[in-house]
Amino acid sequence: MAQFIIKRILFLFPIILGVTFITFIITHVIPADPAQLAAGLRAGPEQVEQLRKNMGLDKPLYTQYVRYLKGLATGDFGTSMRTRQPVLQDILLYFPATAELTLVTMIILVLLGIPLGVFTATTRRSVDVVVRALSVGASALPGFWVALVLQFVFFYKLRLFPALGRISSEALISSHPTHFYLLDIILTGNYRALADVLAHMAMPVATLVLGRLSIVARMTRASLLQELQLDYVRTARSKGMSEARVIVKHALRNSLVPIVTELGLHLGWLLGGAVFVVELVFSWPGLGLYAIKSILALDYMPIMTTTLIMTVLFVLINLLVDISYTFLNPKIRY
Amino acid sequence: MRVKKKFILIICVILALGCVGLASYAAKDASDAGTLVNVCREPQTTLDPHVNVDGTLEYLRPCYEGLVAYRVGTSQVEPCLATSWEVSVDGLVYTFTLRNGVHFDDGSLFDAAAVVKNFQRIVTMNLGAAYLISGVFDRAEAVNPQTVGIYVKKPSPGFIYSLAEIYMISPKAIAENEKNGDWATAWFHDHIDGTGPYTLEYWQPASELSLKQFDGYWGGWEGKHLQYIVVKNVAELATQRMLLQAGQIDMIDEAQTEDLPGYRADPKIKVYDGQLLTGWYITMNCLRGPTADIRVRQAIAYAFDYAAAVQQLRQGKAAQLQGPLNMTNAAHDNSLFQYHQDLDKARQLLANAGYSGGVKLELTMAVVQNLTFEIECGEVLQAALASLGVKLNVVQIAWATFLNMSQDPAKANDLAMVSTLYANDPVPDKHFDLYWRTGGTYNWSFFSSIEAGKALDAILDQAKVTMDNDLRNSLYGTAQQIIVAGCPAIFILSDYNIRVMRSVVKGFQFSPTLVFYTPFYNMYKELP
Repeated sequence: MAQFIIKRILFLFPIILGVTFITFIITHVIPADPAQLAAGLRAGPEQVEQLRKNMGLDKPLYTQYVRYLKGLATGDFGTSMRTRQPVLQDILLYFPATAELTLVTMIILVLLGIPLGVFTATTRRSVDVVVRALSVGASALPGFWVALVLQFVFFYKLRLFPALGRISSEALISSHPTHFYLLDIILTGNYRALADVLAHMAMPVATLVLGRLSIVARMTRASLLQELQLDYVRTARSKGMSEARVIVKHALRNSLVPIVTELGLHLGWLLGGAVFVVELVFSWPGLGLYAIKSILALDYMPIMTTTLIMTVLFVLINLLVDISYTFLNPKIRY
Repeated sequence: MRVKKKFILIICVILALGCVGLASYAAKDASDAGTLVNVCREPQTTLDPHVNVDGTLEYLRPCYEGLVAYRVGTSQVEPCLATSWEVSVDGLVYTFTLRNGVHFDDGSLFDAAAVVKNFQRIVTMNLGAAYLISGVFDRAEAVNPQTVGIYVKKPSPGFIYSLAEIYMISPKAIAENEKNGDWATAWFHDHIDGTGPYTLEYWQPASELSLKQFDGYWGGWEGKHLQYIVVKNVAELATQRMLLQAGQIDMIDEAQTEDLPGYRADPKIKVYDGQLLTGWYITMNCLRGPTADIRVRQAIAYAFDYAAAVQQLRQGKAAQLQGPLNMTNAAHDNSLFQYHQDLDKARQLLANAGYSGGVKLELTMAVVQNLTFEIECGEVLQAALASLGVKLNVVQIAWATFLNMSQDPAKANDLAMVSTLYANDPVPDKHFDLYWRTGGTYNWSFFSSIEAGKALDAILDQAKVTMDNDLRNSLYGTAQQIIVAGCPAIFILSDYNIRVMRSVVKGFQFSPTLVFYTPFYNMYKELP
C-alpha cells in the first residue's frame, strides 16, 4: 500500500510538468500584452516597457518558463499583475472560500443523495419514478439559471437568505486565522456568526447540490439494486434480519465502491470549475472568481497557478478514492 | 420503516440548520441613513493610489486628495490641498501655497516635504499615476513648509489638470512601513492614509470595502454627510438590479439599456443623466485592407445611421459627435464637417472604389466582448452596410486580445470600436496623444502613418507646449480638420453617463472629466 501511494505521488511530477507547460504555452500564444494591461490604459510606452521588464516578460519564453518552474520549487508562484500581490498570498486568501463551499456541498450531497438513492431503490415504483424524474430535472437545469432563480425567490421575494457574499459585515469574525469561516468560528468561539455564515452558504450550496443530487442518488440506487439481487441478501432476510439492517448494514455497505468513485468525481468537478459559476452569481470570494478575473485580464501567474492547484487536487482526490476502496472492500489490495 | 424514520430525521436536521439562517445578522445595508451602499462589478485590486489604474480609484478618491481638485460637476480645477498657485512666465515653474492645518489619517501634518516625498515616490516607482506627469515633471522642491515649487521640463497647459489626480499619501506611513525599498507599496496595498474625508474601515478583498468618516478632516463635517461608504462586489447585473429594487443597496455602477425604462418609472429610483466629455467612434484601418482606400472609409461614414445610434441606443439623450473631440471641449472646432447618413452617396463612393456590380465587399469589425453598447453600434452599422450589399462581420473579442490586435496594423481588424473614456481633460493633449498620435495606445486607425495624416504629430507636439489658449486651440482645430478630412473614423456620438440610485440618495453630481468618480463627501441620504 505504501509503495502504491508513493508511486502515485511521484506520478504527480510529470503531471505538474505537463500541465504547467501546456498552460504556459496557451496563455503566451494568445495575442495580448499583459504589461500594457497592468500599466493601465493611459500609460506611456516607457512605463509599459519598464513593467514588462519588471515582470520578466522581455525574456525569451523558455527563460520565463524555467524561472516559473524554479519559483514553483521554492514556493514562489510569482506576482499577480492585477492584485499586485504574490499569487501564493492570493491563493491562501481565496482558496478557503472555495474549499469550504465545496466541502459543505459534498456533505449535503452525501446526506441527501445516498438516502434518496436508498429510498428510490426500496420504495414503490410509482414514487421511485416521480422522485427520479424530479431529481433528473433539477440536474438538467443550468447552474447559473438555478442560482439566479434561487436568488430571486429566496432573497428578492421571500427575504429568507442574503443575496451574496460569505458573511455580513457585522458578523465579520474579528480574526480569521484560517479563512475557513466555519473553522474560524470554532477557533474564535464566535458562534453567533455561525448562523450568518450558514445563511450565506444556503443558496450557493443549494445550487451546487441540485446540479448533482440526481446523479448521486441514481448511482446509489443502481448500485444498491444490484447488491439486493445477490444471494447473501436473500440469506440474510431468510435468517429473519430486519429489512433496515439488511439494506444499511449489508447491502449499502457493499455497494459503496461505485458511489465513492462517483463522489470523488463530483469533488473534482466542483473544485475544477462548477463552483466558478456559483461564485460569480453569488459574489462568493473564492478561487473561481479569482481565476475568472485573472483569465479575463490575462494574468499569467494566477492562471497557471490555479490550473496547477486544480490538477494536483484532482490527482490527490483520485488517490484518496483509490485508497478508500481498501477499506470498503477488503478484497481490494494494492 | 426504520430507514424511512432515519431518513426523515436527517432531512429535519438539515432543514433546522437552514432555519438557523433566519436568525443571522442584519447586514450593514441601505436601511441605515448614514451608510451609502454601492456595488461594483470588478473587485478592488490595490488601495495604493500611486499604483492603481482601475475602478478602485472611485473609492480611493474620497480618501485621498491632490494639490488641486476638479470642482464638482465641472471640468475646471480649484484649490484643494493647495490654496493658490502661480505659474512662471515661461511655464516651467509652478509655485503652490499649501493649506494650513491639514493632517493625514495617522495624525502627521501635510506640508511641502510631504509633497516632495510623494512626487519622489511616484516617479521612482513609475507605476499607475506616473503616466499623468511622465515626460513633463522634472522635480519638486520645498521652498518652506507651506510652499512647494514644481518644475516641469517643458511648458504643459494640461499639467495643472494632471495634478488633480496626483494624490498625497502620508510620508510617515511610507517611512514606517517601507520594506526593502518598496516605498511601502505592500502596506498601502490594503491600507489607506490620506488627507481626504474618508478612511478605511475594513476591506475583504473580492467581497466588500467599507470607508468611514475621518474625524480630523480639514474640510469639516458641517451639514449633511455620509458616515460610511460600503462597496460590495457584485459581478452579475441581474443581482445588482435585485439588490437595488429590494432596497439593499443605494447605487449600482452599470445599468443595462433595457432596464432603464423600468428604473425611470420607479418612484423609489432616480436615474441621473449627465454629459461627459467622452466620445464613441469606430476607427477604420487606414493602412491595410479595403479601408485603406479613403473612398471606402467615406462610404462607410455616409452609410452609418447616426440618428438610430442617438435615438435607439441613447434614447435621444446623446448628440452626434462632430469630429474627434466632444463638442463641450473648449478646443472643439465648431466648423468641422459632420457626416450624415446618405446611402446614395455611399453607394457612389463604393462604386468609385471598385465595389459595384458583382464585386462584393466584406469587412470585419471588432468590439470588446460583452460590452453591450459596442455590440449594438456594430449592429447598427451592419444593418446599414447590408443595404449596400456590404457584409460586415461583428466579432466580439476579449479585451486583452482586442487591445493587442488593434495596436498592430497587420493584425488589426478593418474596423474597431473605441471610446475616448480615458482622456477627458479640458486640455485635450492626452486625448490626442492616446487616440491620434503615432504609437498612441488607441491609435487604431493608424491615420498618422498615412500621407493624409503625416502632419498630425508635429502639430500635436507644438500644441502640447503652447500655453496661449487661443493659439493652442487653433492648433488643435487644425488637427481636427486634418482628421475629419482624412475620414479615419466614424464619429458616432458624444456620450452621456448614467447613474442609477435610490431616490433617497441626494447630492450626486457627475464629473464631466473624471472616469470612476462619485462625490461622496457632498452626498447624503434622506430616508422617509
